[in-house]
This record gives sequence, structure tokens and C-alpha cells, in this order.
Amino acid sequence: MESLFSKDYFQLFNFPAVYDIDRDVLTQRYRDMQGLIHPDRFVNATEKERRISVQLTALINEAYNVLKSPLARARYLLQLRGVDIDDSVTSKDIAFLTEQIELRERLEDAQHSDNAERALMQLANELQKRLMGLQLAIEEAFEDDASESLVKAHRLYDEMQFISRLNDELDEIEDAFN
Amino acid sequence: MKLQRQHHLAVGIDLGTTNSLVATVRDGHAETMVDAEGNHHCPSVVRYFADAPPVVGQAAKDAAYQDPLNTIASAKRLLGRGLADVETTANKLPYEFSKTESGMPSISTVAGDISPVAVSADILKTLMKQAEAELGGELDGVVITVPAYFDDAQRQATKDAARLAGLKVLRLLNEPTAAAVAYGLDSGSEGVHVVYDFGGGTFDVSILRFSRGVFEVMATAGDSALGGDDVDRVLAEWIMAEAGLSGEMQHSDLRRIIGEANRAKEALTSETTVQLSVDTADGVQWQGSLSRADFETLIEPLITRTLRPCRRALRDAGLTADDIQDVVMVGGSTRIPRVRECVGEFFGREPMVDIDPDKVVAVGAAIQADILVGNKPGDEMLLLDVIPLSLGIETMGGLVEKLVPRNTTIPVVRAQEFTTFKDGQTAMSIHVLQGERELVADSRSLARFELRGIPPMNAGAARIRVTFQVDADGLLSVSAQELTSGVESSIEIKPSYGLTDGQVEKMLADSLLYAADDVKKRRLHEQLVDSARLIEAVEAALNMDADGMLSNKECVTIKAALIALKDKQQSEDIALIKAAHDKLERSTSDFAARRMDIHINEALSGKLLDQIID
Repeated sequence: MESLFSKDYFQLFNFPAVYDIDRDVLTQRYRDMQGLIHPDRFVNATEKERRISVQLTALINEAYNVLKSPLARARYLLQLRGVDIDDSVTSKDIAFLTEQIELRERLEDAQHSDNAERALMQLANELQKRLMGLQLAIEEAFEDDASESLVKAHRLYDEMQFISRLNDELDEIEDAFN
Repeated sequence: MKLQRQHHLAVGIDLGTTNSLVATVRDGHAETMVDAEGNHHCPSVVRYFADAPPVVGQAAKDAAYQDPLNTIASAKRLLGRGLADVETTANKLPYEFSKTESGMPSISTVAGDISPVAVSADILKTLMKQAEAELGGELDGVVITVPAYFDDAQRQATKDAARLAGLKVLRLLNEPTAAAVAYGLDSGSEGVHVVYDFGGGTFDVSILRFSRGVFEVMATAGDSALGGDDVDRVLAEWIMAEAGLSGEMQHSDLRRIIGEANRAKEALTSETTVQLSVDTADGVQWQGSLSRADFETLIEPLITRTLRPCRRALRDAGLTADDIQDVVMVGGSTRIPRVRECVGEFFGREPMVDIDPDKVVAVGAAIQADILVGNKPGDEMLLLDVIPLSLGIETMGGLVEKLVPRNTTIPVVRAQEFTTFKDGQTAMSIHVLQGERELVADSRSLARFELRGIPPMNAGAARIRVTFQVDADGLLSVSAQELTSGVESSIEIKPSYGLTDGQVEKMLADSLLYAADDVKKRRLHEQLVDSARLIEAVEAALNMDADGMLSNKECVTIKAALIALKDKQQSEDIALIKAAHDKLERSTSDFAARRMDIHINEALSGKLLDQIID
């Protein structure tokens, strides 16, 4: 029998390896599995079982975190399909680079505008919408395995990652305002 | 010995900064237990003597004014802390501190230097004896609660204290999670709950989702050095300023003023003004009054400090105040009317105070202890908790690289690869830190791990995979392996503020001198309980899975080891029992792994999942 530790995250949760997965089913399966393997269920078991339980629960936790995050799931799926992701390489897409600079400038401006809180909130909403759009696009790109589809998915992933990071920065700035 | 499911004795202990409580489940109902005088609370105060055993609880608290240096209160604030850490606290605490090798502060008393861990152990021992007297037997296990915001060193110190007290810890449970269990099981309400826990010495807030028997902690935040003690301190400083007293004063006077502040605070929960008086040893006399409104102004900054973590927890959980179903109040400081008002305003709903905020944590811990010890087989309740503070390691330039971000569900395992930077290098050091800041200097140092036994290779050729594991108690352990050779590195841990295993052993040995018989008996009992547990587990496993999963030979080996352990259980020799215990563990190791794999695989293939869903 195939060891659980060698399964990929989609297999662990009994999903086909596609981008679009049902969040509710994911959460339900996560909880059901936790109910079976969590260390609290093995307090009275042998040491070996306790150790396996900790490791397996950690694996399920990690898999769940990756699958439930739109960004991490995209990255994981790209890797599963053999795409090598190197974060140190910057994009060569001029349009995207220009947009990155623009968005950064807008964050700066919002931060220093008269009504910073409101401006930041507007930008946050916009970034959220942008992320939703990217998720739909990447879902489509992942529908087939053609190499140009993968290249497209990779590019969309880069965009998602940039927008997410900007969103995190924005959160931190908003925090400082509170 | 025949296998039968017996009722195990288990309790939940709320080891608090100012008061501690013990609770248990009897006839399906969780309740706090009372001492001989009928008190639910045991003040977390220990008084030490030169040639007599320490006194714990109310009697010690009553003696605090007359014997301030030997009477230790609020030791929890010092647990797992370094001397430098506690300096701000220590200035306000009327003790004499001395530095120790472990980096932990010790308190100088007539009984010698006492570590905060030992003080906590003395409190735990008292509660344990009280519970054992009432339940009529030795405890099989305890759940001890800790503030959710406790870091690794503070958790480890709590576990060390339990070990010193001779208690078997089933689980360290976060206080707010315990409170949620007490409420959740009471009301059975599904949804998102906030637990606002403002205790004697710590503050934390947790956001939990309760759904179909599973409590999932979504986020937790807090301040492990903010509590009712600070309210007292702010009030005491106000009294001192009003009375024209400077900071230079005798310990006993400071104690008395803090006591007066505490009395005033409690009075102001129901009164609108309170009369105060000070009468020092130097003959300073002062009388005055304080209105509730002025009191509220004084403590407003402290309340504001509690709302910041609330905001952060909401954000980490990805929620707004509108998503919250209810807010549960825990801890004595939530009795302050202004605190309730502010929390109500912040979350936009009236906070819940149905269960006594001082007892709710112990009650929740007792419920969890009852389940974990095995008294409620088939119970579906499960707690999924998180790590409260990010874990990281030191990298070049004094920066922290985060390995496990805060609010990650535990247990969690993260691996990181390192390499050597010198030819023939056989050792390296890894510095583990906790906290949200980017600089090592701003983070809390947890431990330094020395990896040894790396096979000598050219610089950069070795690939050492270091695995960081945080278990269900929130405790960190580290292992390392060189990947090209497969050699396991040995690891020496130097906790930054904790006790090494050797130090705990030594403290245990020292306590042997005190009451050799008592300790020896307890250790024998611990071993017997452990082994009985193993026997029960192995017999259950054999009954269920021996057919089909074990060869005849394997089955015979395990049964022989089982019989040997049962036989040794009758002896009173700890070493013999331990050896037989270890042998049984070893002989069932493969069987255990096989069972786990098969059962979990069955579950994953949908068979069990469907059963659960139906």
C-alpha cells in the first residue's frame, strides 16, 4: 500500500489535481481526518502511534493550508505539473512590471493622502477584485496541460503573488493607523 | 490482570497568576473542587521557611505583609522568563532576585534560591493532593491551562513544573480554548466565538469556530505581561503619588499599598466611590477617596492595550466584528464594568458572563482531561489549536527568517536545509527565536541547537535537513539529518530561559532529599500508570487487528513482551518495569505503524468518511 507520507496534497484529500476545488468539501474532509488522526485521539496509544499521529496531523495541516489558499494552491499545482518556480527571477513582462510600479505608487499616495484610511480601503477593495479575477483566469489556464497553458498559469501566479504581497503590506499599513 | 475499561481519575488545573483552581468531571458534570475549608480558589502564593515545608494558598497570602521576601506571589509572570525580561516586572515585584546559570531568575528566600518553576510546582502539588484526597485515588492525568499567548519557554516551564510536582500532563491547553469548551459544550452553539481573557497577569484574545464538535482556533493574540496586576500597580502608583510617597519604600509597605489598591479595584465593581487609607512603617498617614469615573480614567490606557490584540486577531482570522456570534469573558479583570463596556462597544454586542469568569477555564480543562484520559470513548469533540507566535531562526546579519508563522494550526512540522561553509566542518549552531519582529535583537531567544556529527565534507557539500516540530502542546523539538550520508546529527539544546533536562532531573533528585519515600512512590506510580496505559493500548490493538496484520511470529513476540510487562508490573522495581515497558514498545513499533497506515488509508479512501458524514 502506498504510504500516506508519499501522497500529494490533492490525493491526501481525495481530490483530482485541479485548481478548482470545493472549499466546503475540503474543510469537511480536513475535519473528518483530524477527528481520526489528531494526537488527542492517541493520548493513550503507544509512543510510536503517538509519533506517527503528530507527523501525520502536521502533514494534513500543511496540505490543508496549501489547498485552501488560492495562492499556495496555484504554486503547488504548478510544481506538481513540473513547473520550476524561482522567486528570485523577476518577470520580463513589461506591461506587468509597469503595473507593479504604478500600484506601488498608488499605495504610497494612498498612505500619504488626506484621507489615508479611506484611500487605503479603496485600494484594498480593488486589489481584492483583482485577485478574484486572477483566480478565475488561473483556474481556466489549469484546465489543460498544454505547455502554453502552463506558461500562462505561471504568469498569472506571478501576478497573484505580487498582488497578495501588496495586499499584505497594505494590511500592515492599515494596522499602523489603528 | 484482566482488561477492563475503568474510570480514570483526571482533573483540569487552571494555574493562574493570582489564583489557581482544580476541576473534575463527576457524573458527566464538570465542576471546580473545594479544599478542606470549602474554597474553590487557591491563591497562587507560596511562603517558604528555613526548616519547614512551604505553605501554599490562603495562609501564605495572609502572611504576605509580614514576610514579603519569603512569600512568592505571581510567580507565573516569571515562568520561562530571563532576568532581563523580568526587570521591568521585578522592579514592581517586592522580591530579591538572583541570576542563575540557566538564565532564569531565582528568588532568594530563607529556604534558598527558589526558581519560579519550583514555586509553580509547589502550587500544583497542593492542588494535586487536594484532588487526590477528594477523588480517593492517585491521578491518572491532568490538563493544565496556559495563556494562549505563552511562548515556548513559558510552556516548557509550565510542563517542567508539572513534572516536578509528579503530575502526568495529558495536554497543555490554552486558557481561552478551555473557556470556549466550557461554553461551547454548554450551549452547543455553532459559529464563531471570541474569548476575551483578561486575567491576573496575562491578557489574550482568541477567535474560535465551533462546528460539528470541532473547535478550531482561527487566531489568537495577546500580551503575556498585561493583567489585573497592572491595574493594581497603576492604582498603587496613584495612591503613592496622592500620599506623597516616593518609590523608595519598604517591601512590606509596597505590599500593603498594592493590597489596598486591589481592595479598591474590587470595591469599585459595585460601588461608585471607595475610601482609601495608607499607614506606612515610617509613619506616613494618608486618607483619600477614589471615584469609579477617576478609576476608569486611570486604567483606560490598559484597556486600550487589550483592544489592539483584538483587532489583530480579527484580521488574522480574516473576519470583522460583524462575523462574531458572541464574546465570552474570562478572567477576574473582566469583572471591571468599564472593561465589559469597552469590549461590548468594540465587538458591537453584549459580552457573555454566564459562567463565573474565574472558574470557566478550570471547568473547560476538566472536560478536556476527562476526554483525553479515555473516560468518554467515542466522543467526537476535538480541539484544533494554533501556535501563538511565529517561530524562526537566525540568519546572516542578525535577521530572523520565519519558519512557522503565527496562528498556524498545530501540530506542525517544517524542514529547512542548511549547508556547511567551511571544509571539514562537523558542527553548526542554530539559533531559534520566537516573535513577530525582524531583528534577532527584538525577538525572544528560545534556544540554541548545536548540531554535531556532521560527516566532514567540502564546504557547501553537506546538506543538513533540520526539522522543527511543534506538538499539540505547542512545544518545539528539533531533529537534524545530513542528507547525502543519511547520518543523524546529535543535537544539544541550550534553552535560553528554561531548564535543561539535566537541571529538571537534578531538581527532582534534590526533592528526593526532602521526602525520599514520597517521591519514589510517586515515580513508581507514574511508571505503573504509563505501563498500564501501554498494556491497554496493545491489547486493544491486538483484539482489533492481530488477524491479518501480524504474522504468527510477530504475534507471539508481542504477546510474550506483553506478558513479561504484566508480570513485572507486580514487582515494585521501577527499572525492571521500565525495561519491560520499552521492550513492549519496541516489539509493537512496526505493528503500530502498519495499523496507522491501514486505518488512515481506509478513512481516506472514503469508507470511514462516509460513515462519519451519514
